[in-house]
Amino acid sequence: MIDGLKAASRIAGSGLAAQSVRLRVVSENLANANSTGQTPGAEPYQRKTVTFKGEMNRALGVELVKMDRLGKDKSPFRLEFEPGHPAADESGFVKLPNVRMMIEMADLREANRSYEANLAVIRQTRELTRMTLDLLRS
Amino acid sequence: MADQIAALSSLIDEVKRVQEARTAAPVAPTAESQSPSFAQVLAQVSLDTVGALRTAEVSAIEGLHGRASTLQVVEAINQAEQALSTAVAVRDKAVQAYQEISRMAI
Repeated sequence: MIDGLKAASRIAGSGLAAQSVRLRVVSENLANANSTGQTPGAEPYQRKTVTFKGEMNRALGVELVKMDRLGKDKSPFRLEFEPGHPAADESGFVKLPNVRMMIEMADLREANRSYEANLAVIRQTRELTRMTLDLLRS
Repeated sequence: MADQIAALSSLIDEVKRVQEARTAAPVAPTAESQSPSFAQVLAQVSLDTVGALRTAEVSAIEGLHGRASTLQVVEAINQAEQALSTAVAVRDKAVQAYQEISRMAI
């Protein structure tokens, strides 16, 4: 069994990695908010989602967090009437990605806060280790 | 970044010197002691520290080449820092004990 402070800092490190994956997915969704298909009636960019799961680390005896899988949002695409667009179907409608700015921004904010929380844990464990070691110097 | 690596490698050299000094002059073990002696424990701690510093150095170089993320580099350097400060604190305490003994009135 590893020392608790060290374990806490490792777990928080895995949390940082997980939240950065989340940020990556949000940025992918935002960047592709207007990516349409190339041929008439083609599917546009489908919003990506990410899920996480706990993962037991046998060497440390603690549960870290890990990315589970990248999924796709199955909600319907937005339709816009634009007959001149290369991806427009016979009736002139273009399918636009099911990315909604509001949701992406909320997700971004949440990932940001979680990242900061994990950083605070790392900072705190570092401080506590330092203070404990300071007992030796007196 | 580069001067951090230089600092790390000089730290490694320092720890190595301390470790060699320790192994060169070990405390004479008593016949009945089966558990590792104080000197052996210190040598083990220094070895672990050197290992952590090596890992940190490798990650820092990987980071410079763009193969490791900032997060990995920071984590490795953080661990090395903690290991080093532990080793230094224990060394200071041991040296202090020797000095106490040498100052004893005869």
